[in-house]
Amino acid sequence: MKKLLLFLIPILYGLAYGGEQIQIEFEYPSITGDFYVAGTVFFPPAAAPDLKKILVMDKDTREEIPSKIVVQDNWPDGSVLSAEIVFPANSQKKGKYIIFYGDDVERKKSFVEAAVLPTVSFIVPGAGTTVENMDVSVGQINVRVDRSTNIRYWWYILPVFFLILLTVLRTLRTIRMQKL
Amino acid sequence: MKKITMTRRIVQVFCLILLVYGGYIFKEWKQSPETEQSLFPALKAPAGSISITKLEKGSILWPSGATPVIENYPPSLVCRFNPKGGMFKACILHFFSENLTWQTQLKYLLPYITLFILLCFLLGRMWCGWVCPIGTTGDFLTFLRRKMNIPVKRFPQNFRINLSFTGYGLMAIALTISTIIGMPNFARYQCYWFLPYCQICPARLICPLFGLIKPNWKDFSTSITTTFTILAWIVLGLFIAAFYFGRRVWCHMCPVGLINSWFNKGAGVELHKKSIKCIKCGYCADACPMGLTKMYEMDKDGIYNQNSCIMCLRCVEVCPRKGCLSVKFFGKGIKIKDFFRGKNAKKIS
Amino acid sequence: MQKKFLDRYGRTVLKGFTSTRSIKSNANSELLEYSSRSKNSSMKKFYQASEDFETGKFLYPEKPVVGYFCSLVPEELILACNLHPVRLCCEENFWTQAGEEIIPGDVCPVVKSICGKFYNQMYDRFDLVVVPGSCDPKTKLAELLSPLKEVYFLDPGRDCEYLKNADIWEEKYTKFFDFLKERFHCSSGRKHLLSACKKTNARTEIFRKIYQFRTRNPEAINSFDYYIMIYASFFMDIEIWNNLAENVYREALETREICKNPKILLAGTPVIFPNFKIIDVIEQAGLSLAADIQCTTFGRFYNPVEIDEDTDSGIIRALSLKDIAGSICPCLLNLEKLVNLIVDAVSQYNLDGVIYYNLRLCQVFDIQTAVIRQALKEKDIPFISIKTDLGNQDTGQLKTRLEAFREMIESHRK
Ligand code: SF4
Ligand code: SF4
Ligand code: SF4
Repeated sequence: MKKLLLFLIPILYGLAYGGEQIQIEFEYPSITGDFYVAGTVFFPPAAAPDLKKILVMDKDTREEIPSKIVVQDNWPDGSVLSAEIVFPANSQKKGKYIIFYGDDVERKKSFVEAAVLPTVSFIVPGAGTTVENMDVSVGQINVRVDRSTNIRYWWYILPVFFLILLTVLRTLRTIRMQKL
Repeated sequence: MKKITMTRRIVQVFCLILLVYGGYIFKEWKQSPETEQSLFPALKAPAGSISITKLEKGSILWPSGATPVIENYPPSLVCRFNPKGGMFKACILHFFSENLTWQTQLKYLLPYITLFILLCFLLGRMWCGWVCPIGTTGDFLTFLRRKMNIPVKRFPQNFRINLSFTGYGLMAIALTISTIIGMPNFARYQCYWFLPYCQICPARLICPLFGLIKPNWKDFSTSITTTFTILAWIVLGLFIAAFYFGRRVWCHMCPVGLINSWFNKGAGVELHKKSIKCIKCGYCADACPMGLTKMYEMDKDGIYNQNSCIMCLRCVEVCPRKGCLSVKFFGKGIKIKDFFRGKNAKKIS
Repeated sequence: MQKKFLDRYGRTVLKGFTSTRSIKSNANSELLEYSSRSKNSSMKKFYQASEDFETGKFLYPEKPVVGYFCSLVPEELILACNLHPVRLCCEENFWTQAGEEIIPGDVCPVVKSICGKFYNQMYDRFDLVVVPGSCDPKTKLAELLSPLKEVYFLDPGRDCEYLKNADIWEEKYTKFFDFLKERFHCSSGRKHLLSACKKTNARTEIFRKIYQFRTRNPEAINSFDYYIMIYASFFMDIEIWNNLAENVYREALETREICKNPKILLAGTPVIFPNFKIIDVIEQAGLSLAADIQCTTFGRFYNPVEIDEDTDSGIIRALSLKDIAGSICPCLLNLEKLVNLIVDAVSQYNLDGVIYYNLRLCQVFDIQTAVIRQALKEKDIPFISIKTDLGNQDTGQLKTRLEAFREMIESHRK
C-alpha cells in the first residue's frame, strides 16, 4: 500500500493532465448521404492564434477534414475565443471527429458549402458549460443533451467526505497529543 | 549541505522546471491526438461571460504571449501567469475565485476538489516546502542574502501571527468580491474586478519572467486598475523584502499556503518527537524557516505538526540527537533505502 | 578589567610566592604506566604529545596561542582568527599544592592547580587567556590571572534556554570575535569561520565513531587511551588530532574483544589527565567504563555545529547554540537535560549502571547528585555517587565501594 501511494503521488502531482484537443459528439441522422456538422467551440486565450491554427481531424484515420471556420469572437490578444466550425460528414462512413488546435497546427483544407444539405450541430463534451439541457433545432433534426444526473460527476463526493472526516479526526488527535 | 536539504533543493528545482517549463518539454505528448480526453475536463468560462469578453486588450490579467495552461488543480499555486508552456493552472485561490465568478456548478468542480484534498491529506503542506515555485524563488532570494552576508531578520511571534490574519483577510475579501461579481446584477464589474487577488499577487509579476515574457507592470487606464497596479507593486515589494530579509516570512500570509495549512495537523506526513533524547540545544527552532518553536518546547513524546509548518524537514535534519525528531508517514518510518531494497531488507538487518 | 588595581596587588602576591618548579610532578611516570597498558599502537603519539605538554616541551605551531577554559568558549572563533587554541584545565594534586600558596582555603581544586601552573610560568607561551564566567571560582580566576596574562572574560550567562537568550549569546560571541580580530590584527570572516567549523565537525564525527564504538567494545580503546586522546585534543592542532584519532579508531576496529565486565557510564566532573584515579579504580574493581557524559568529552564533542545561516552572525549563533544551549555544564540550568541524557544513554547502549563522580569542593556537581539519584532510582538503574579529591589516600576505600557496586549490578542483572 505504501509503495503504491509513493508511486501514485508523484504521478498525480506531476502528470495528471490532458491534451489540447477537443472531442466532438453528434448523433448521426437517419438520412443517408452527406450532411454538414456545425457548432460553436470556445478556445482558451492565446491557444489558437488565428483561423489557420484550428483544424478538424478524423479520429481514426488522422486525416484532416476540410472545414469552414468563422471566427465569432476574439480574445484581447487577438487569438480566437469562439469560432463556428462547419465540416461535411457522411452517414455511411461513420467517422469520429476531433478538433485540434495550437501553435503547431496548420489548417490546409477548407471548403465552401456548395450544396444545401441538412446540418447537424455537435457538442463538446466535458466542457464546464452551465447549460444543463440544450434543445437545438436544426432543420428537421433535434438533438437533446442532458447530463445533469450523470453519476460520473457526483461519485467524487464520497472520497471528499471521507478524506475530510479523516483529516478532522487526525487533527483532533494531534491537538490532543500536543496539549497533554 | 545535508541529505534532506540536498534532496529538497533538487526536488524544488525539478518541480520549478516541470511546472514552469513543462509545457515546452512535453509539448509533443500534450498535443498528440492519441491522448484521450483528460480525467479532469477543462473548466471554461460560460459562453459570453463578461469577465472574458469585455476584458480590455492588454489587461493586467492577460500578459501578452501567455498561452493557456492545462487546467488542473494540484494543491496550490502554479499561476495563471505562467509563461507559454506552463503545465498547470493550479493555484487553489485562483480556482475558487474564478469559479465563484463563473458560478460553475459544484459537480464540475468535484474532481479538482477531490484531487486537492487527497494530496493535502497525504502530504499536508509539503507543497510549500518542496514544490511551490514562488517558495523556490524566495529560497533563492534567501540564498542570495546569505551569500552577501546580510544577517537574517527574525520576526517576533506576534508579527507572524498577524501576518497570517492579514492573509485570511485578503482571502476573505478576494472570495467575497469574486462571489459578488458573479451575480447577474453586478456582472458589469467583472471586467475590472475579476480575480481580485490574482491582480495583486506577486506571482502575477514574477511568473511571466520565467518565460522571459513581459508582465503587465502597469495599467493606469482607470482608477481601479491604477489601484490594483499600485497594490501589486506594494505586495511585490513586501514579498521581496520578506524573502530577502527573513526566511519564508511571506509564507505566513500566502492565502494558498493558509488553505493548505488546515490539513497540516491531520496530514499523512507526521513529525514525531521523542523528548527524552532532546538536549534543548535549540538547533531545530533556530533552523526552522517559519520560526516555529513547538518542537523545541514540547516536553512530551508525540506529533508536533503545526499549522504553519511547511514540512521542509529542516528540523529533523539538524537535530544532533539521532532519533529525537523523526518524520513518519501514517505512523510508519520512511526509509528510502528499505523501499528500494525490497521487503527482505528488514528481515536481514 | 581593573588592571591597575590588580597589577599592584597581584604582583605583591606573586612576590611572596616561592617557585616550586624545580620539583618535578610525577605526571611523567604515570603516563609511562598508562601507555604500557594500551593495546593500541596508534595511541603512542598521543601519549608522546601529552608527555611533551606536561614537561613544557610541546611544540606549538607558529601562531599566537590562546588559552581558554570550559566548553563555553567557542574554539571555532579562535581557530578562525588563525590562532592556536589550547584548552586549559588542570586537575593535579602537585599543582594544587603549589596553588595553595596563592589561594589558600576551601577553594575548588581545579582553580588552585591552574593558578599553581600559571604562577610557575608553565604557560608562558600564551598570548591571551579566555575565561568564561561559568561558575564563581572561574570568575575570580579571571581576576587572579590578570596580573600575569592578558585575560578576556566571556560571560554567557547561566541560563541555557534558547528562546530567551539566543540573541544575547550571539551578541556576546560577536563581541569576543571582534576583540580577537582587533587584538591579533586579522580580518577573518565567513570563509574562515566556515573552515574552522568544518574542522571541528570532522572532529565531532571521529569522536562520535569512537564513542559509539566504545559503548560496544570498551576494551579495544581502554579508558586511559580514551582520556589521553581527549587530553591531547586540548592542545594539539585539530587537524593532526583528527588524523591520529582516525588511525586509532581504524586500529581498534580490527581488534574484536568481547567485554564481559559490567558496562557503566561515568557522569559528573570531567576526568582530566593526570587525575586518572577514578578510572584506575573503576578498572581495578572489574567494571568497564563504556560511556561517559562529561563536559570535556561528550559535552564538548558530541554536537556538531549546524550552520543554517551561513552569514557571519548566523555562524556565530550556531556556535553559541552548540556551546551554550546544548551544553551539559552543571553551572547552567540544565539538570533535566542531564538526567534525560543519562537515562537515554543507559537504555540505548545497554549499560548496567551509572557512576557519578564528584570532585570535592565543587558545589554544583554535588547539588545535582540527589536529583540524579532519585531519577535513576525511579528508572531502576544502579547508581553510585563518588566524592573524592585529587589526593591518593582514599584509593583503597573507593575500590571496596566500587566492588560492592559491581556485586549489586550483577545481582540486579539477574
Ligand atoms: S505559502 Fe504560498 S508562496 Fe509560500 S510556499 Fe506555500 S504556496 Fe508557495
Ligand atoms: S534539535 Fe533536537 S535535541 Fe536540539 S532542541 Fe531540537 S529536538 Fe532537542
Ligand atoms: S517545523 Fe520543521 S519541518 Fe516545519 S517548517 Fe519548521 S523546520 Fe520545517
